[in-house]
Amino acid sequence: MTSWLREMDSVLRGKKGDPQLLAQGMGHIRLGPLVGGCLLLGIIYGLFMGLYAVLTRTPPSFEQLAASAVKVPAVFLLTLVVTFPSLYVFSALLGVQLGPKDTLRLMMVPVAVNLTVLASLGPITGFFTLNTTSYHFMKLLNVFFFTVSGVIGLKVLLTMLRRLEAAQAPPYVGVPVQTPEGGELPKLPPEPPRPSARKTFRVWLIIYALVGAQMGWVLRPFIGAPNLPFELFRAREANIFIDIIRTIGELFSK
Amino acid sequence: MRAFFKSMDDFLRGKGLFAVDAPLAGRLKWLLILLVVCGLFYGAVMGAYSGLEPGRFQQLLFSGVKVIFLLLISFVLCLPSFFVLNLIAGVADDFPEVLRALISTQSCITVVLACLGPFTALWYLSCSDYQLAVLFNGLMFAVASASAQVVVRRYYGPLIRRSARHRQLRFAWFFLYVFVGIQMAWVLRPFISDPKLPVSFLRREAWGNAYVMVGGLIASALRKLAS
Repeated sequence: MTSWLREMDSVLRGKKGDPQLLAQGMGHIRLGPLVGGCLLLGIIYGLFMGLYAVLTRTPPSFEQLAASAVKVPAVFLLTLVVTFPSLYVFSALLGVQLGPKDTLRLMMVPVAVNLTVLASLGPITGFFTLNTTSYHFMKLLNVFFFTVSGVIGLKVLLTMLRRLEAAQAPPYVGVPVQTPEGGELPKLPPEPPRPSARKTFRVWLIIYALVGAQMGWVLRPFIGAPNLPFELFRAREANIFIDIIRTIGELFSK
Repeated sequence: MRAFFKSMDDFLRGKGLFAVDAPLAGRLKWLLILLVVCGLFYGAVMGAYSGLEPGRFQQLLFSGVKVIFLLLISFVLCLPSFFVLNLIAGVADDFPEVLRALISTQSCITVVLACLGPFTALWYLSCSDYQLAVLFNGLMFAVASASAQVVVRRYYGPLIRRSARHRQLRFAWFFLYVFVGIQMAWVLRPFISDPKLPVSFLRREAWGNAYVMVGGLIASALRKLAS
């Protein structure tokens, strides 16, 4: 447990994105503690999400509390399972110099940041749950928190990729250009690093966000509509984007 | 297993056995293994729409085998006409290298399809509409075919430097292959299999024109989204 927290702490402090360490590869990112930490933080936020079903139902729905605690980390890890193979295949095809294990290590960093930010927002979710009965408000609040934490995770990844590209770019040996008189022109400026990694990961991030949102929809309910009985999974229907628009409409229609 | 993933990695990066100038002999075995394993995997995912109840499991195997058939038969059907095109273009001497590029493309399509398999599974979990499932799989095949162009370009690079005609021929192959492939997929259906229909290797009414049907599917999906 201590090693999980230590690893998460060094991720948050940006130590994993140290250019000198990145130049040596991804070996400094330890998968085991990161996955453990992600599970723990996901469970914490899941408990805050599931609290709504405990407080608004009679009798309290502790099944929903337990289900949410399991489902929040599951959303993130299953999204990674769905999107990782394509990220690896496309990045290898496009010439990104990262093996499968290194790619996975790199991907775990934004996921860890995402879940840490989310878990840190957990007490706020809990606070609103204590004094809000509107299901639609709680749903939108959670969507907002997931989005905010997701955006922060993405920013961390993009920063790491920029550093990684700079660290792994071959050292540029400037060739002095001879002038006809025999004088030397200044060396050419260094070549910019190849942008293929960043481009690939940027596209992947969009896919990850979309798949993550839909994975959340597939695994619903997380909060539990007060007028519906507890179910582990709801029936297949529409998609999350249609539901968000519908929820905004319903929140302001009363 | 380790050797399989090592070969896949080398293949995607164009290294080792799969380097542009490496001989075909060593790599052919791995190209076929990649094609069979990844094709079976994606086909099984495709067939999962049919349901995972006892009695419907054969559909997974049928679809897996048919994905391999789809690629290989389309390839074999297109090859003679493409050879003639090369001959007419005056670059038939390069055909062994062209063949190397085309075989690699087949494997690349299945590798990309396999990596897209989880998306298809998630789509099935999200949406129960059969027509949308068919369209989504069509999209995955389109993505795989377009992505495989990276490998085509890699192996065609030296050929194009030798003769610019190879560039046009590469496009000709792509359109010919896709054109035949779509119809072959239609003939070999069902890949997804409607859960309401019994499991079968081929439909009784297998013959027909794919293009007429796909147009109808798109129109129907658009009408559904609009309503």
